[in-house]
Amino acid sequence: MADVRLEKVTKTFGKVVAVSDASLTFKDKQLTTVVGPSGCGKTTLLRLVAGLEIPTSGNIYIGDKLVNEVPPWDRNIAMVFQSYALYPHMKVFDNIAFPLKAAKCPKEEIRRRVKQTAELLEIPELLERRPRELSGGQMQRVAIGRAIVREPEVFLMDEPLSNLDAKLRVYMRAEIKKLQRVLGVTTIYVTHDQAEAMTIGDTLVIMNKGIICCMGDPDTVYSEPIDTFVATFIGSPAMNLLEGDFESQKGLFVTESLEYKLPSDVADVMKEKGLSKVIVGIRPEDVIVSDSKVQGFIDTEVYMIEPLGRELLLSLKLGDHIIKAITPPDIKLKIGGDAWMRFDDKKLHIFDRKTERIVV
Amino acid sequence: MPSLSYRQKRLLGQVAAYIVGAIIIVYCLSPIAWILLTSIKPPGQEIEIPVRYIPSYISFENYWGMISKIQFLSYLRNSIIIASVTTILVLALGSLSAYAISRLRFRFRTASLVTILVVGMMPGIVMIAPVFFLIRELGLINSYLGVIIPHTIFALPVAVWLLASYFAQLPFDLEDAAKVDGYNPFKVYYKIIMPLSAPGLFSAGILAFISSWGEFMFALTITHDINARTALVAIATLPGAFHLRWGWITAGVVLSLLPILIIVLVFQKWVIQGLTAGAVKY
Repeated sequence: MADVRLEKVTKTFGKVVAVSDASLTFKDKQLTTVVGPSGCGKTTLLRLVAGLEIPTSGNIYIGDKLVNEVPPWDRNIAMVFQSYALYPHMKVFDNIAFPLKAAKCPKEEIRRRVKQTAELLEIPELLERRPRELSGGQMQRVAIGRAIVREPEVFLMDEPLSNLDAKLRVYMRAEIKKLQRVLGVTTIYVTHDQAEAMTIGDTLVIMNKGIICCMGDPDTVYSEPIDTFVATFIGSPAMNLLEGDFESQKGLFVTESLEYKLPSDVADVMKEKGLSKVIVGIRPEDVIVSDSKVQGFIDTEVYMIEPLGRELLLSLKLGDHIIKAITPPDIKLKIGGDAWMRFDDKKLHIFDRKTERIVV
Repeated sequence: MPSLSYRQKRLLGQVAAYIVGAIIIVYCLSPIAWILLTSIKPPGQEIEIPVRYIPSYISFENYWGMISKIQFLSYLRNSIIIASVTTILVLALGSLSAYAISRLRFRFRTASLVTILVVGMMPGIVMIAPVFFLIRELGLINSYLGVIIPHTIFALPVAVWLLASYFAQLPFDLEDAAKVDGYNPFKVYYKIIMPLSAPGLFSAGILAFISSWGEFMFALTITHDINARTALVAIATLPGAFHLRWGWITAGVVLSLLPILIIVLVFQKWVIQGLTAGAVKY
């Protein structure tokens, strides 16, 4: 059990900078998810911790040990791969036992631990089979089994659920989270699926283009995004972003098609900071919609209605803007008709044109 | 001709394919059949005019002549030893090279590949004189090693090529997983790569064996007596200034074919699998 610390770690492949100046700590016993779009460097980061890549510069510590020069086979880590990487020529039992054999465990103990692991993952009946005789979900459990059987200091998981069908994925998410709690091992979980990142992690790390954007617990990252990238990456459907100007005199947010009166506390802070060009962000679930005219609401055209079963996803057209809103399903609207909306003032996010956020 | 239905056309096509296949097989096997028949003819019948195809009775005198008078079994032993050692060397060296070329990143990778290909494309006859002098300098004339060394060198390019393409399709993930599981690169090679490449190794091995077994020019040049001469060279240099003892020649050929035949038949599954670059089912 140990925490994993990165100090100014950079990894380049020729001219390509995969990871740039990453400094962070993965806390002991916690499940930290690393999330980001494809190509953001999260898998490279994981491989650096595993020792499968060597940092171009910077230091990596596992526990208190500097492990830059330590090869993967000497680090006490376990990894679950996206493709599971099960050894096709060995039975399931031998696959799970493989790391124990490397550590020269006595045969009896190997048998005991493999059986124990198989029971924990509910796959004891599969021990005599070969990987090609298993389903996706079964292969995945074997891969996890192989990782947990040796009680490593760190678990590394590289998008382990990406190859599973949606229902199984949701089920396994919960199973993995439960398992991690029980075992209490520091876990670094890489995924490109933001919903998965939110549900499974104690802490979230968001990466973009090799840089670590931010780090925090899921709720904070969701409700207080640090920049527009995080704001639109986390949460589905994505946050609405409107580019416009702030008129400090009247406390208005103005765009070509919209004039919105900002709440006074927000406007004050903006005046103080002397902002003029801003981006206003509001999540679809924080857009209040009414099917009849209400005082203070803005008239918009219903562009699209997407029923999601337990709610409706609306696309509302306002001049050049298309604003997405989520409403309960019983609202009476039709495409082409009118809808009146306003923003939940407590949930506004103001961004300086692409740098930071200021007020909630 | 009335227009045929689709099914009839298909049937016709299949029949035609079988006929063509049969013709090709007969064409390929007829020399061997001829040799086999000639070898079991009693002495004298093989050179009859008009041609006698089937012997009037089966006689093994030719075989007996080869084995006792010519001590052909010693030559066979030489061939077996030379071909086997060549195969072992080719597999050991070739698999390591193929692994490096196909799965590792290093500076001279392209240069190595090109060098290997160039050597592979060189006709043996260009090399015969320099190699002879080299072997003589090394004092290896008329020894097993003197033949094994050139055989290995000339069999390596094909083996490396075959094995490299086989290794290249093994998933990289497996090596990463094994490394993380606690195995250093050598153990990964031995425990993961080797077992999974068995078909490729078998076919590379068999190709190396066959090429060494059937090699003539170097074996002829470098060896000169029974201590090291191979079976094929022995057949070609049978005593007989005034006439060729076809019976003995064909008996020798049949005896030479037997080991190869046995090997290929026993390992045919691997040979076909490896040669058709079988994909590793995941």
